[in-house]
Order: sequence, then C-alpha cells, then structure tokens
Amino acid sequence: MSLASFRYSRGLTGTFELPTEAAKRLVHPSVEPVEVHHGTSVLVVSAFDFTESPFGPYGELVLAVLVAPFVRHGQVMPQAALYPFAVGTTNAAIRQMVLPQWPLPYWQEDLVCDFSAGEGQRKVVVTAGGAPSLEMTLYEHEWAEETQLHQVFAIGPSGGSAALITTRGQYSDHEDGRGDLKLHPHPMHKGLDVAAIEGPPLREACMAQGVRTIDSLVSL
Amino acid sequence: MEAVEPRDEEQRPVFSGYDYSNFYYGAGDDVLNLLDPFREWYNEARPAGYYLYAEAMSSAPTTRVRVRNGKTGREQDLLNLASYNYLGISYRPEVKEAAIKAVERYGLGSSGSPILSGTFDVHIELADAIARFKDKAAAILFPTGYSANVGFISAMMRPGDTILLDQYAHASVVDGAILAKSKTIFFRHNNPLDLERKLSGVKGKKLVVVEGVYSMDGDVCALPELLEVTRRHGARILIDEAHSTFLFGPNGRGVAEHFGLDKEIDFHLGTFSKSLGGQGGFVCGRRDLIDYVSGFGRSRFFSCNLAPALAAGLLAGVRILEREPQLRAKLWSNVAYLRRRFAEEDIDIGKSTSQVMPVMVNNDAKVFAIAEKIQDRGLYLQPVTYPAVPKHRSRLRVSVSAAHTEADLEEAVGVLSGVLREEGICR
Repeated sequence: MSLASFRYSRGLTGTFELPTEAAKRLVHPSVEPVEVHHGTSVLVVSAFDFTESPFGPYGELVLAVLVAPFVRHGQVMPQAALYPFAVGTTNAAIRQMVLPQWPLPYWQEDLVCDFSAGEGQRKVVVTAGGAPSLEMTLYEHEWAEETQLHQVFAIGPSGGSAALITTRGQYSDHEDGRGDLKLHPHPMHKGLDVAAIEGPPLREACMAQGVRTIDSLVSL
Repeated sequence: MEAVEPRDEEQRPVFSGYDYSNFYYGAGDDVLNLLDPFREWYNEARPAGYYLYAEAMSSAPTTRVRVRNGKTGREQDLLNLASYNYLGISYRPEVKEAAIKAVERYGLGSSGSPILSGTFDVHIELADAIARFKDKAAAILFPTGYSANVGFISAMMRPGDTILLDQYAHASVVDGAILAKSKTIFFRHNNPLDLERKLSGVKGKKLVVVEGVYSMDGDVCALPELLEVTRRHGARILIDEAHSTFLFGPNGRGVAEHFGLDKEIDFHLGTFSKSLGGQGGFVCGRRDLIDYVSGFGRSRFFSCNLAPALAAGLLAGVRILEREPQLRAKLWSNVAYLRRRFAEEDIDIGKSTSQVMPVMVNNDAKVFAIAEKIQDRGLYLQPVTYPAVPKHRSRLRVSVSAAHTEADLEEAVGVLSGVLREEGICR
C-alpha cells in the first residue's frame, strides 16, 4: 500500500560530517542525531529530479540531519531516518498539497535545480528566489538496482508525523570522499552552521531511473 | 505515536541492504524493540556469511588450526593467517610451562583488584620486565588492551580538555575519550595538515592520540610529522603500539623507536595480545605518571587483576623476545616475502607497510562468498566489511607471523590468488 508514487530520472544524496552540537540545533528536541563518531553527526543533502508525480514534474532539495529511527514492536526497520530542516521544490503545487498533511519545513519560494552529469560525476546547482543556495558534486561508483527504506520525520507547531519512504531504482554509492559541497549564504538554510560542516562527503550516493513511494504517514 | 504499518515482505530491502550500523540507533518506548528487526536480519545474515565470525577454534592458535565451521558444524584443519600472535610466542613450550607452574602455585585467578589484594609478585616482575624492554622508568598493567586505552585516557583527561584522535582510532581510544568527557576532535587519518587545522586555536590541555600500526589497513603512523604539529601547538601525544610493540625499531620497542622518537613521545601504550598472543595491556613512562594512573585508571582499579598464570606466561614471552631478536627478523623476512608474492600475483594490499595486510576485495556483495570459498580451500581468514571499513572497501585481513614458513605463505598465496582470480577480483 502506498500513499503516493513519484518517478525520478536522477537524484543525488551527499552526507557530511557536522558537529553534534550544531546538528542538535537543527532538529526537534524529541529526536536524536545519529553520530558517525563521538561528537560528530551527519548532514544529509539530497536533490531529486521527479519526472512524474501527482503534482507533475518537479525538482526537490532536502537538507536534513540523520536521526535515530523510531522503532516499535513488529515494525519494519528503516535503514535510516531523516529529520529535514529545510525543504525546497521547484513547484508550488506540491508544497500546497503536502503541507496540510505533513509539516515539512518548506521554503516558500520556487527553487531552480540544475542537474548535470560529467565523466563519472553528477552535479546539482540550486538557486532559490534568484539567489544561489548550493552546489553539490558527487562521484559515481558501480551502479545496481537497490531499494532504500527511510523514515522521514516532520514536526510542526501542531504536532508531527513520520513517513516511511521507499526509494527503488538504479543506485551507486561510495565513501571515497571525492565530492564537494558549496553552500552559499542563503536564508533557506539559515539555521545551519555552514562553517561547521567538515571536509569531503562521508558518502556519495547517485540515483537514477527509479520510483519513490510514500508508504505510510503517521502522526507523532 | 501510531505504529507504522508493517510492509509487505517483498517490498522490504533484502538483508544485504542492512548491516550492523542499521541496528545501533532506535528511538521508541522499549529497549527491546530493536531485537525483532535485528533478529530477522541476523537470521538471514548469519548463514549468508556472518557465520564466518567467531567460529570456534579447538586447537592452539598456531599456524595450523582446527576450526568448527560456523555453518556446517564440521571441524576443519586450516592454515591460519587470522590470529595475531605475530611472533608465535603464546604456544612456545617455555611459555606454557611458566603458565602451568603459575596455575599450580597461584591457582586460577588473582581474586582481587590490582590496587587491593590482586597484585602478585609475578605482576610486579612483568611490569618491571616490560618497563625494561621499553626502556622506561616504570610500567603499569591493565587486564586488556581495551581497558588500557579506556583507563589511561580517562585517567589523564577531564571535561574542558581536548582530545584529538586519528579518524581510524581504535574503539578503545574513542571510548576512553567519551569516558573522559573531554571535547573530542577527529583528524583525517595520518594527516598532519588536518591535525594542524584542528589544533589551531584550541586552548587548555590537549592530547593527540595516534596508533603505531592501524589495525584495518596495516599502515604505519606518520609519527614525525604528527609529532612536530603536536609539539608546535603545545599538546601531548599518546601512541598506542598495540600492533607494533615488540616488532618495530632496532630493539623492538615500537614505531616510536623505529622513527628515533621514542624519547619524544609522552605516553606509550601497548598490549600483550598481539605480538605475544596473550592478553592484557600496559602503559609505560615516568614513575610519577604510573603512580598517578594507578590511582585514577578506573578500568584497572575496578577490575580484577590479570590472572597470575597469564602474567607468568607473558613474562616468559618477554624473556624469549629479549634473547631471540631473530624472531623479529624472521617476521620481517616473512612480511617481505608475502608482499613480494602478493605483488607478483596482483593482489592488492592497500597501504599496508606492516605485518597486517588487508587483501582488498572492494566488493561488499562478494566478500562473504569469497571468504567462504577461501575457508573451504583450507585458509583461515576473516572478512572485514562495512561498517568496520568504508563501503566498498571490504577486505580479508591477513596477519603474518614469524612462525609461518615460506611454504605456509606460498600455500596462502595459492589459495588467495586462485579464489580472487575466479571471482574476478584480481587478474
């Protein structure tokens, strides 16, 4: 059973080291950042180019912190859980449709997500409201069909919810630390201490020709 | 929170989409909730390859071992390149005899904390012997290498201090820093420039921790460069020579001696479990340091002391090392031989420059099947995969011993090169 399906042509997800004290400032006090080392949490930067969705084609940027998944007896274990602290889309319709049900921290201006690919690398350049937001370059590894299961939290003034999201398609990842993230000063990610982001990516994941489904959305 | 509906079985990611890292964190209302998904995963993961860990050995960890196959239960006689025992000491007749005599004299255990009733004459003799071997004023023993790092670091550092760790630091170093409640900063592996950057502007007490040989890659610490940065910033340095004490340097004191920097290092830590194939850890240095650690090293203070029989066996082992420096020469000759043969067979051992050689498979999906095939052909080696090493950097960890013969090493090369070629890992 899925609530909604989204077909994508390409996607990039980079994870970066962020001091836990900086990560904690970005998440709700009820969730706990995952630490990759003692004192070091994980910033997730993810951009997707959706070609088919209930809202038409659109691009999406998610800035999130990796957090502990919520596990209940008998529940499927997600491979990771995300707490988005900034989400942008190229299409206002999705924000208007999703927000009443799911309090994601949407940036209310339309983004421009410019995806490109070079020799073994993929890049996304994002601008929001005409101002540059970020540039991320990630390198590819071997590709294979994979399924990823993530839990995504969103907590707003009137409560929170968690979605179980499946991403299935061509997937490539590695931890060789070759990619790069450039964050420009921008109000969309104003809570993020850009100077605290440490070094090259922990992991670089590229996705292509796949489907993302939201399988359940439950109130917290 | 309402429960998330269970997904259909066919929609779930396969077990290979999970690893131990997926089951560490789990928020919720019951500490046992993680066990269901973990059990479900492990029940698939174990027969698929995780059974290769902790297979029961029913012989001494010599160069040939008898191992009960974790999947079939069948006993297998295998060529052993998995045990530490770098100098083949633990099963030497004089070591076993010393331990047996100690059991007859002292019984099974030390029956007390080292600071109360658990210190025996043989512990004092061992501490003195190790201090002499390391050319230091004094030494203090710990029950394990893990407890040596945890106990020493937490004895010396406090909240408000800063500990700078190599990103590949052993878990015991990290846990020591956590227990110390100091600010912990990781610097890029063996990277003096990153250490420089991380030390800049840090005030107060600072401790840099490095390892002589890194256990997953077998590479040696860039000690001269890291020490120079450490000194320039007024920090102290601890070197954990778990995998290098008794092996490196003109007198076998370790990597610090190898670089001619033995006297420059503030704190020396080592273990008895690697080169000696025993158990226990130690710290050596100036007398007042050792007395201080005796009073504040909680992992030792609140543990029972090493069994006297173990201490007696270790003492016999140290005496062998003192009178048989040729053991180190034999080890390095074996290392050189194996490195040459691996190069000839196009087997990648990464950045290793020591007796620890990671045979790089670089294929997380295949590493267990490869390790299984290797074991079926008579070679005992463990696979190492994510999250112990980065994704797609899976490997088989080879430990070379002075006890190996060239015929042993040649047999190992034959098995490895055969399987790796069949699996398309090397040409």
